[in-house]
Amino acid sequence: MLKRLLQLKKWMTKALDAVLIVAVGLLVLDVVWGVFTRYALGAQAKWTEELARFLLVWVALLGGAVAFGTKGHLGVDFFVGKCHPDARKLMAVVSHVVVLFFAGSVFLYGGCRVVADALAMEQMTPALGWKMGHVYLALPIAGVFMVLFTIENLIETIATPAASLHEAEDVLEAE
Amino acid sequence: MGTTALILIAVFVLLLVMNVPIAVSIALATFVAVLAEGVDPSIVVAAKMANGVNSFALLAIPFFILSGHLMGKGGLARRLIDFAATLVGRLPGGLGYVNTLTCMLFGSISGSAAAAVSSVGGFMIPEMNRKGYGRAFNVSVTTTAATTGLLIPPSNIMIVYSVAAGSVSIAAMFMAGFLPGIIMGLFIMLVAGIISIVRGYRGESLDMPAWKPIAATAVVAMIIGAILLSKQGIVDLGFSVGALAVGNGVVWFGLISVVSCICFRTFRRAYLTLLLIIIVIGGILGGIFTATEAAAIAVVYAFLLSVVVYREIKLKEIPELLLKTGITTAVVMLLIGASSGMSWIMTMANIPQTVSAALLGLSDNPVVILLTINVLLIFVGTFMDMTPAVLIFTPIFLPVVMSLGMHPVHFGIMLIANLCIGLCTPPVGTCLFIGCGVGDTTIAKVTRTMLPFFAAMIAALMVITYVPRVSLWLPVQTRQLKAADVEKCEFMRPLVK
Repeated sequence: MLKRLLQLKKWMTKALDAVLIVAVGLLVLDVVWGVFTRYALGAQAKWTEELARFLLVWVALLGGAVAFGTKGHLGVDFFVGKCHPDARKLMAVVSHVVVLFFAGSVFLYGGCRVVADALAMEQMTPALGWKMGHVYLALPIAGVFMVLFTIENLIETIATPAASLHEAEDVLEAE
Repeated sequence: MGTTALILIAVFVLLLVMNVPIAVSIALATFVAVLAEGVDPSIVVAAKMANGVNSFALLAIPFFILSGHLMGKGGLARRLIDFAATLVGRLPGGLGYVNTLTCMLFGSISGSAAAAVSSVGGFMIPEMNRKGYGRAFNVSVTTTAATTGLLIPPSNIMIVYSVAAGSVSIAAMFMAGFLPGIIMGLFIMLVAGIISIVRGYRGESLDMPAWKPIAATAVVAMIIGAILLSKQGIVDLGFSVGALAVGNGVVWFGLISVVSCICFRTFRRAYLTLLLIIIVIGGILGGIFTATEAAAIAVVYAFLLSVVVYREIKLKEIPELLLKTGITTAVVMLLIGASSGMSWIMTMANIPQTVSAALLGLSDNPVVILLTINVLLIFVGTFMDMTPAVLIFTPIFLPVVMSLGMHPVHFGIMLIANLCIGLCTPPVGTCLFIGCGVGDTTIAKVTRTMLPFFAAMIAALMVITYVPRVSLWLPVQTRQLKAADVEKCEFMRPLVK
């Protein structure tokens, strides 16, 4: 069962990475195409600018979720570093719970409501004619991944003894 | 101060101290503050986070990050080092100058300091260690010099600032950063030079006749002289700085390129790399494309150069670079999205006005107020990274300094120059960490050697703060700012005139 879950998580991470890679690649092509149409064809295709902004929203939110998985987000670890290892472990657990609350309440719950509102008001994007609610879908999707990754981090932190948490950070500093 | 403001600040500081990611701290502090105002917060914060990054200007950031990755991996740094060595390698302590100059050149093609430390330092620090330079000295030069790249355009942090500040032109910020970046670089070179002479570090012996570097310097001086003369209308050489590449300018540019390429092997090898500076900056200034489009063009150019021409990156390495870019971008973007919510609630809670009143109550002398702001920012910079610091403190301090008559572009440059210092200071300094990692040494061993370099950076910061012309002259000359708008700023008028 656990193995299955881990397999599923690995597969989901891979899929998320792939989406991110494609989105960044598309971003470059899209903006370059915009410049090209302006100079070569005389008039810039209007949808390029809009698509680029929406892609950026998706990259930002989904990439943000990935960064929770790789612990890539910026924090201020100075004060925690001065604490006793046990206190540090407690802080790390609390910090993960806070992130979990954030991902659940803002991204998952808030995101779903933003999507529902936009769909109910039938907001449309001007150039592409997409439903704005579909653009906002990135919020709850990113929320699901954030919750998943944070739960994993939480379990990992609880499972690691406080003393070795300390060592791990010393190694990081030495690097 | 109202309850909302107190709640906002208390929650934010509490979460920050607990090492909760800064983006989450900002968003949750906003969340609680909105709740205190009696509005349902989840939907407000979520919408702000998505809409805060829904901007075309911000798109330049992932592109500059990506082109930085491509250039860092693609051996472009190596070519710039060889070029810099030709110019300044012979002087006593030559490698220190080469290092600084390369960092400045690298900064002018990439938008981040971390990239400069790892790719320039990764080659220069071991080389300098081998040639007998002190290890701590090498790390100090690289980390401090790398931050000049944040002032020299293109620069991601300037894009972040112009979004945080509201209606500040990115092109104007880019132009404003040039001279301050060069000043900071020169100050660092000065300190490096003095230390080198005291310690007796020798220059490099290059396999070329001595007249060549002198001739090269003379050519550069002549070009600058010609531009200045034609600006005064004394000689017409076709250099109209407003649109860098028109008419005779193109002919001149081609002529100089060809001559220099023939004379200097290193210039020839670095030529295609250096051309990127002209494409990006010239393109933006000439109104050919926006900053975002210039960044996308830079990606394509760097891709062609490192994958097709130099062949130092394999095609199958590209997805990994794209993924890395996506994650780095997202970290910055989440901060921006969260901050857009926070600056909204800060305005509702009158925080900028409160800070402004407190600072103006302290003194009505702009010199003293700016000094206070600088000291506060240096303190913040020692333990907070640059992007969150810019996002949080721009909406707080900008109204204060604008009421003093400071131009927002000038303030942005001051803010960035100030926070550059924080990147090199313990306890938290991104550049210092990377530098120590690359140089295989510890922060404790480097700190002492760092001190004179900090002095140089602070001296440069003072010049940038109190001489507005350093920042505002070039944007006015290149018509990115209207002279009348700059004149209107009363700040330090006696110094400007």
